[in-house]
This record gives sequence, structure tokens and C-alpha cells, in this order.
Amino acid sequence: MVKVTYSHRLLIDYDFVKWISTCSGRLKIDIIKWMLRTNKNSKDNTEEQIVILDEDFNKLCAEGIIKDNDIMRGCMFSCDLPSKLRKIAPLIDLGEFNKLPIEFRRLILGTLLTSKPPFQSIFMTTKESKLKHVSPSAYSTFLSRITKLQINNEEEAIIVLREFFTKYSMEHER
Amino acid sequence: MTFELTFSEIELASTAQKFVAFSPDFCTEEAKKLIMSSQGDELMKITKTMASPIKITKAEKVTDEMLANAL
Repeated sequence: MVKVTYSHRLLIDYDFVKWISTCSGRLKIDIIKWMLRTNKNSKDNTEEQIVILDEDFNKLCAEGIIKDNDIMRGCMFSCDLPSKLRKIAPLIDLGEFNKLPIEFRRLILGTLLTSKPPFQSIFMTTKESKLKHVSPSAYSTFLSRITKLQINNEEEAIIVLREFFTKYSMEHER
Repeated sequence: MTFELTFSEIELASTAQKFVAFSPDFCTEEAKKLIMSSQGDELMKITKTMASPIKITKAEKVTDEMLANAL
């Protein structure tokens, strides 16, 4: 079994998955295949190399954008962030935390991902959604301190996923 | 009290092969044949029934058609 060490954990959101669903046939198949391989063959984070907020995943299912739950759960780990936070910070006020805008909660999750190997993460989203995460000055101040979290739009995300798949393919060929 | 649940997961064939090797009686013959004849790194959709114990009831290889229809 091929196990690959990837350079970054990947965080995705509702908008990114929705964008994949609008891609043309071959590109859509390739992107989903790349994500499946990245998640399943990860050495450091098997099944959890690609992460999405529970809230985003559930919304995609509720709206019928995710049609095959099994395939898409194979592509990404749906993270219950409040439970994760409760484990590492038992005294956290989750009531207050859940009132934070979802964009900020995604950035917090992206930051949390940098605390474990490979200690770097990429938040993959759409151009439009990226603006919502970087434009508010509160977020840009937050982001300026988190040097190991980068935010990519769709085109940049495809490059990363393709590179990760190429790395898997090269390991597989050995 | 009884509890039964059927669910499917995407797994590498090697993971399913380990399950079958560990518990050969907990897999249908048809699923076992496909799982054991697959390359370790092949992606498979494995359907399991959780009763007592967990049993593999169906195995399929992941196809481009499945990926195209996932979203």
C-alpha cells in the first residue's frame, strides 16, 4: 500500500465543493479522484488529509449538491469543530464560539490543522469566497499572524491537488 | 435488544483484504472474490452490515461513473 507524505493539510468549504459540482465531466472526475487518493493514501493523516467543517458538509448534503455521500466522505473528513475544541480546551464557551461568522470558524479550523504534521495547511475555496475570508480587517489581522495557513482559489487549488496526485502516482510507480 | 445498520465506505482494497484475512467468515463469497483479486491500492466501495459482528455484504470497484455522479 502506497503511503504519501504531503506538504500541507487541506481545508475546503461549501463554495469549493459546489464549484467542483459545476466543473465539466472529465475535470470533475479528476478532481474527485485526486481528492480521494490524497485522503486515502496519506501517511500522516489517513482519511483526514482533506478536511471540511461539519456545517459545510451537511449543507452540501441537504441541498443535494453531494449526491454520493460515500464517495464524498472518502474525499474529505467532516470535522465537528466545537467537539474538537472542547477536547483541547474544555472550558471554552461554545455558545459564544458558535456565534462567530462561519468564515472565521473556517480560519480557526485551518489554523488548528497547522498544529499537527505537516504543520502547514491550505484553505481551498473560490475567488469570491476567498475575499470574504481575507477582506474583513479583523480576519486579515488574524491571518497575518498565521504564516503557515494559505488561502487558494479554484485555479490554485487544482494545481495543488494535481501535484499531490502526481506525488502519489510517482510513489505508486516505484 | 438488537441493532442493525448497513453502511458503505470507500476503502483501499488492501484495507478490505486485511479485514477478510482477519475475519474470512464475515464477508460474502462474491465480495471476497472481488476484494482478494484486487490490487492493494485500488479504491473500492465496501458495504458492511453492522449487526453482530460487522460483515462485508458487497464490494464494488470505484469507477469514473461513480465519481461523475458523486456531485
